[in-house]
Amino acid sequence: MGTSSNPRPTDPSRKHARPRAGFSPFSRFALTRSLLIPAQLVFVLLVAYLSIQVPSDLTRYGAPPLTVTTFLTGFWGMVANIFTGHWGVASGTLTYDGYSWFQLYRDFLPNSLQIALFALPIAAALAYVIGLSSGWTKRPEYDTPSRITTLGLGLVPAFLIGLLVEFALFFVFYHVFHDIPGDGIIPSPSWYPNGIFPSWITGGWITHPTGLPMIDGILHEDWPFEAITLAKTLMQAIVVALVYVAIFMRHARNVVASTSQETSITAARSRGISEPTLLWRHTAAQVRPTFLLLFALTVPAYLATQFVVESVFVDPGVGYLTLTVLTAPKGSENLAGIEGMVFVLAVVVLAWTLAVDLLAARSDPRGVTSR
Amino acid sequence: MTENISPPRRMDVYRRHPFGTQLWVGIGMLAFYVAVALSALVVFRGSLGALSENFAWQTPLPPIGPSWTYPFGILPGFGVNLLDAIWQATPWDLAIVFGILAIDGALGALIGAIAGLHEGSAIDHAVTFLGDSLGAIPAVILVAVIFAGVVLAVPADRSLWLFVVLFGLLLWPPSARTVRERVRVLAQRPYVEASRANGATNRRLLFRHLLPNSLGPVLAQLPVDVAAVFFFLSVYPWFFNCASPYPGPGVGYHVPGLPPFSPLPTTLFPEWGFQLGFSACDAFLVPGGPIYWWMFLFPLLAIVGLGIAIALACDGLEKWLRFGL
Repeated sequence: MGTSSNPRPTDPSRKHARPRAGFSPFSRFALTRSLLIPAQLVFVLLVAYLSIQVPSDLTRYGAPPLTVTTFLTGFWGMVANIFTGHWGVASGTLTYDGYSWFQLYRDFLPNSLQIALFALPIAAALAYVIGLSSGWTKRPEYDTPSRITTLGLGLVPAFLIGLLVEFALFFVFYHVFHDIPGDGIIPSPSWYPNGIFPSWITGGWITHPTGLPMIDGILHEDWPFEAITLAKTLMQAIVVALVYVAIFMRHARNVVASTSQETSITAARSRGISEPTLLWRHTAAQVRPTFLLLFALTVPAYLATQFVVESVFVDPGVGYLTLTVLTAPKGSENLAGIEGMVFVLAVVVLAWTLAVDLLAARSDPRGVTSR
Repeated sequence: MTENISPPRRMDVYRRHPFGTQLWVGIGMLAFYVAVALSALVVFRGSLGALSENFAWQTPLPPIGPSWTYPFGILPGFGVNLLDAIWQATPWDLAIVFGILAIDGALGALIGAIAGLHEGSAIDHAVTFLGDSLGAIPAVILVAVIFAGVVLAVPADRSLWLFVVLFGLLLWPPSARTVRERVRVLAQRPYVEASRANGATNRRLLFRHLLPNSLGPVLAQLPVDVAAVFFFLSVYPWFFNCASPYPGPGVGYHVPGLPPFSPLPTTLFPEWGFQLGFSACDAFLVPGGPIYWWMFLFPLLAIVGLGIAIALACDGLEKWLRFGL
């Protein structure tokens, strides 16, 4: 060996490698990836402006003709309104009329976060365990039937699954808690004496001081409230997780099946390593980065599922509000609400995708250079 | 000395690799759907676009379940015989689904293949950026957002076809992403290199070698997209009719209503997704009360059956192409 072989440490997973001057490959990847986010956000807002505001302006009587100047002015106006919280006022929705869409989104966000905090770990754990086991036991004679079954279940809309669960558990829930399950995330008005909410719940849906019902219940030491809220949150979280796992499984099975046929796994098996160890240690380590990427790719599907499940349980959350603003009468105020909703969704999904992408790059045994 | 080798004929390929059972079952199921659609065109000619209401059935108490006379029962609210409603909707739903899948599959394959062939180029970056950015919003919400605005500028009788084109145009990113990956790998294969060395143009490489060998991911994605289409068609009518905070029609069976951006021209337009979404309202009318299962079960079976037929056909076709080409 010549002395000229001075390996440049391009792979961060290599230990004792001499650090390179400047950015590490991971930092470069993270920087490039992060810089894309604003561009993607602008693109999504442009699509929203082109598809919502421009046709509305074109069909409005007396509207100025569309020129480059009016287009740019209008787009800038929309972006400015979104960032300053001028999202229009709800109209034609009965319950929320007169409220600003921005205020509604701000008030409803904690409920959705609370469900997501429960649903995400349940969904991740189920997806990890079921995805690994189902792909591992993949045999040609079971492959097509299981794929078709998964797909058939995927064709059943989430709202139908939610309704079936709600109806199936209705009597048990009523018997245990003296409350109905399909009426928001906090106890329904009929549960309180004379139908009057305590002072720390305003409007029948916002709890104080944090806005997160379970935290506020603890702070006010209202344990019956806490039990009902926990039960309702868990019910919604489990439905969301079950539907999401069916979506995740379609992708996960193939990833595990192809990994299980790799030479390293076959070699490990030939050394007499037991099947559970092969699956839960060797294969799991290899598929984890891909699972994380799948997790990022299926974020929109997860959100759509949670939105629908929130609506089934009439939970005042971002999902219920999103479906409300989309089905509201198409006045200019409600259109502004849709633009705000698009912004919120894009920020959530893009941030999530970025975080998962970076996490996957960090945990990939082949290092960031494989991406 | 050069030997002129002609490619094998399709029939020879078929004799060596006949269709598998899966493909035949899929084709059989799809043929059944097409036969039902054709028969609907004959039976309901003149009134194919509107269900025939029976006002006596709009609020029957208790609702009329399946019987020998009405095998699928009655759907109150609409006041229609459910068997007729599903039968009449078959040609429309097949047209909607196949229209969307054709646009989605063709675009996904073509855009993905072009991006994969020109890996690292400006086209590749543009396609990846476009696909990733469009993927930032769930498809069912993005379609609703865009459709809600664009439909204002289109005559009402064209809204259904606008929806088909729009949905097809927005569903391509997942297919394109996977096709791109496949083409990237295939483009390095010796037979592609050999063809390139023989002077094949990019267009020939694309259409002769790369696209036919990259259809697998598209065929795997198409059945998944069927679920997205019916999710869109059923979830908004369900929400608008029985979960939204809007003023409702009152106690008892609902009067069906269309959300403001619905692609359907009227509430009486026969469509499975709308029937499923609306029937879920009436089927689960009273919390804790009886579930009128037939109202949602039969439209659901029609949708699931079509999805499975397409999945079997696509799976079988993918296997056949893998060995046949």
